[in-house]
Amino acid sequence: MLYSKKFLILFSLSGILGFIIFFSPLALSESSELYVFNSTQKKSQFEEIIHEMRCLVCQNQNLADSNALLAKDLRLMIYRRIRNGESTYQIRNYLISRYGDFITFRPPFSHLTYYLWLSPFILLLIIFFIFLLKMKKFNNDL
Amino acid sequence: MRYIFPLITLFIIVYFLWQGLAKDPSLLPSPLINQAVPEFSANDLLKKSTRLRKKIFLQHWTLLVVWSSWCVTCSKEQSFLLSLQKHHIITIYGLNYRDDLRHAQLWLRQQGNPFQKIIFDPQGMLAIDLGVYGVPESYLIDPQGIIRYKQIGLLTANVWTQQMAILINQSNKILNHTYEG
Amino acid sequence: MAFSYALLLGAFFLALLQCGIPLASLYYQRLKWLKWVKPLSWSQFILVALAIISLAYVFLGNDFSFAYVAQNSNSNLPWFYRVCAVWGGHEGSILLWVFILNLWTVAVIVLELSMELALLARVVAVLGFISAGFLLFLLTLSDPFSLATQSVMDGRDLNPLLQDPGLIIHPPLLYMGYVGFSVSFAFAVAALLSGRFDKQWASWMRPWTLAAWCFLTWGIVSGSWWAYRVLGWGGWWFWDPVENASLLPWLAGTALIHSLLVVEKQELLKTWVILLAILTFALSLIGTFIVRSGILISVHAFAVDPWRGVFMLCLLVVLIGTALCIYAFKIQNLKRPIVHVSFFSRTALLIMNNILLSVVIFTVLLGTLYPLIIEVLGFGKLSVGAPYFNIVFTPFAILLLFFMGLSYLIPWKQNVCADVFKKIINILLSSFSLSFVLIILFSKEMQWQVLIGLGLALWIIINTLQLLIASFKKKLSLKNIFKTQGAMLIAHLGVAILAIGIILSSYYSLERNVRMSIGDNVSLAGYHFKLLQVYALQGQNYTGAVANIQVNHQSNHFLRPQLRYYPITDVMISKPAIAMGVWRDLYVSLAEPVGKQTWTLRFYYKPFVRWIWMGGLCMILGGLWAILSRHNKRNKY
Repeated sequence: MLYSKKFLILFSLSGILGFIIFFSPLALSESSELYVFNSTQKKSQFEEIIHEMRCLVCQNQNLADSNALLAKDLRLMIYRRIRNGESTYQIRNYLISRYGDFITFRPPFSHLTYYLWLSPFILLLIIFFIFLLKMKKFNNDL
Repeated sequence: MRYIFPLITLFIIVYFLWQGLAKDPSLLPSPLINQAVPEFSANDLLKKSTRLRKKIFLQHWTLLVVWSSWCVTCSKEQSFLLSLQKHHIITIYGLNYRDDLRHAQLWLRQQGNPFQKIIFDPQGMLAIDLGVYGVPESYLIDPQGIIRYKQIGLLTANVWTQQMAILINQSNKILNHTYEG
Repeated sequence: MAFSYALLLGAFFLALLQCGIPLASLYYQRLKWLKWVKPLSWSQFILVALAIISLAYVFLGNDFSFAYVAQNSNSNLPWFYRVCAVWGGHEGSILLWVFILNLWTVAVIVLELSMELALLARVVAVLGFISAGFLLFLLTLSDPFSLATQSVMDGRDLNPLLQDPGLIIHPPLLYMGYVGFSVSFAFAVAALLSGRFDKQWASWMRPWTLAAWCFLTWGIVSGSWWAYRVLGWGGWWFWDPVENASLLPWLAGTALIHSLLVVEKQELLKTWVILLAILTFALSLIGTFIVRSGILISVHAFAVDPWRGVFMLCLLVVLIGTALCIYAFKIQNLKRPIVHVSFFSRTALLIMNNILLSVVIFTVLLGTLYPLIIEVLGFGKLSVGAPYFNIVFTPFAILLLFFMGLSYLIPWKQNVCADVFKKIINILLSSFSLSFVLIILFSKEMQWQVLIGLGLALWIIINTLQLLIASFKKKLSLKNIFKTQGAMLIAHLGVAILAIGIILSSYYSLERNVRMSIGDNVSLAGYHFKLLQVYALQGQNYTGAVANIQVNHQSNHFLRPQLRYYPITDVMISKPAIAMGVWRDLYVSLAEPVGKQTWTLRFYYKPFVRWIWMGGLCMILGGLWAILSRHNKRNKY
């Protein structure tokens, strides 16, 4: 009987140990996220900003894709600022104040760029109205 | 008349493309010209205990050179900087960008040290604050701590005389004029 | 090689003759001279073909005494990349341009059987003029056969990003497209010169335009697919200036093939079509210029030489300026009949389509050149990139998709009545309801952009179905439907598939950027990835590392992204591993190591991304079908 009791204790101990090992975080070792945020909103804010900013070393890439040293530093800086609670507007302004409008792929809506942002729609309206007028004239002539 | 309109459009576009040929699309003018050097706090590369702050730029003209030991072009401007320092033409400070302490110190021993003070910026955060995007870059800072000129790339004697020295002379003339008047 | 240079010199003089003789013969009414047109074109083609073959030969033989070979190749480069290195740099790409131009010229001579020689001669003359211009460029500033000033042991190697199967097909296809539009240009200018532009002329012009358009579409699709596989982090379109440079002639070409239809059916819009043909080719030339001049920052950087930029601008001014001068003088000679156009007709819809496409062309051109304009005017430097283009392009895309579907309900020579209005509302409602239902079923959140995008794609699909059903009801056979409307159905279906691919992959992609040690796991979108091992890698001209990643613990599903270092050019590139699927792609990139056993990796889940290229291929099929079905119809004229 003593023999079977020992066996029982051993069995349960090993079971408990096995249980701990199997379900402990060590079992399926996880990779570590490069940039950790405590909300998905902040994560998407980060993604948005790094995709919108130009890498100044590899100038045809954005900060998200570039492997340049400066790109990594800027990503880290943006990450820290978002964690501190800064808004996209504040971070964009900071970067533009240091590097100029060149760094942002989304041109600002300023007196320099009104033509850029508005001309497609204004042009469409103008041509459409000319088209309508011509149609009217065409059909009235007949 | 409206049949010539396409030709006019062509010439306008070609004009801009033509002018574009003379420009370098990768050069970035600094928005910090005529702005103050930002506040900072960093260690000196060679004297670890010394804390450097913005006030080191005040009361004299400064040439701030951004360099790294891993930057091949930086060594090409060393001889010119050393001659500037030897003839006491201007105070030269260095900003050591994203470098290893020992490599940087070794590089200075090999290349010569024209810098009176060297800001050690291993994380590159002060460089970002200054709008640095490559090495070498140099800044001309006036006695009020205002950035007056930024040179992207190698600093040569030509750049010094034609861009930076002129600004210093102009400023001195204005000062002398103020005193006289 | 003086021999090859002589070949090009000979070709240049032949090109001048090819241009001069037809024009002189028609001007002086010496029609006997026209018999020289075909032999001249063939001989020019043969000389240029020999030149480009000799360049390929020199590359294959690793002859580094030629500067161009030394700059773009290396003896360790696999042989097929050595052949492709012919067009890997500037000089060779211009030679390829000229070769393809002559290829198209010869094709026109051989295949254009129903056109009288006198009319054909003018087309060939224009093509000869263009060829002469580019040959002059080759002879003066872009000689691929110039000898190296210093002898080198081995070449500088081809840019590692170009060492990919994409290089084999993407540039030649693009050039076939760009240069193909010179044929439409030639037809347009020839029309002006001959004073004749009618239904028949448009019917001659349209298949050539379609062919060029198919090639350009294929070129852009292969470029996007290539970028996805090699360059970006799962990106397939960056609104990069050079990508825009290929999109602009494509948009103009699309407008052109649609408006040629209107000329063919109703002889309207002639002035517009001629201008558009000139514009399309002008955009091809501007695109060629932008890539090679270094005025815009781009991932496609050819070796930059400002003198080359100057020459190309002059070429642009001479070619397009001459054409526009001819336009200004001769356009009024074209007869313009008066035809009634109702506002609610298919013609009106096609005009709307052209208006929309034109504004999009203007927008993309403005956005691409805006940084340059601002800088030239002295207002500093700014960037215009993907965020701008995506925001501005979207409303136009919505309108274009809507009108595309609308055209199914309004056949030729029929006007809209109350019945059709009811149909429109019904189908519109059903498309958007179906879109709503699908989104609710398959995803957790409702995003209005996806609702609209998917809704519009379904709008086109449902319209296609209703057209087929209505045709069946009229007892029309499937064969008949495909003969008359097949091209439109297939091509527009391709657009719908493309739209679905873009919308779903843009909004439902997931990404994880992680550090992993050997043995670590990461999960994404229900898939589990385990980093088994990282091995050293040795290639013909590169070294590096390859990671072995197991997917979902299956013994036969592995992804092996690579990190490659090319010592000759000192470049490190990351080659992603892609698990392709119809409904989703799994995409893994390996980045630098952090310490001895830890690596940075990026995992992407991209649903429906393959639909983008499938949609493109479908569009090409539609274009091909349009050419073939034209062939059958043509005999009626």
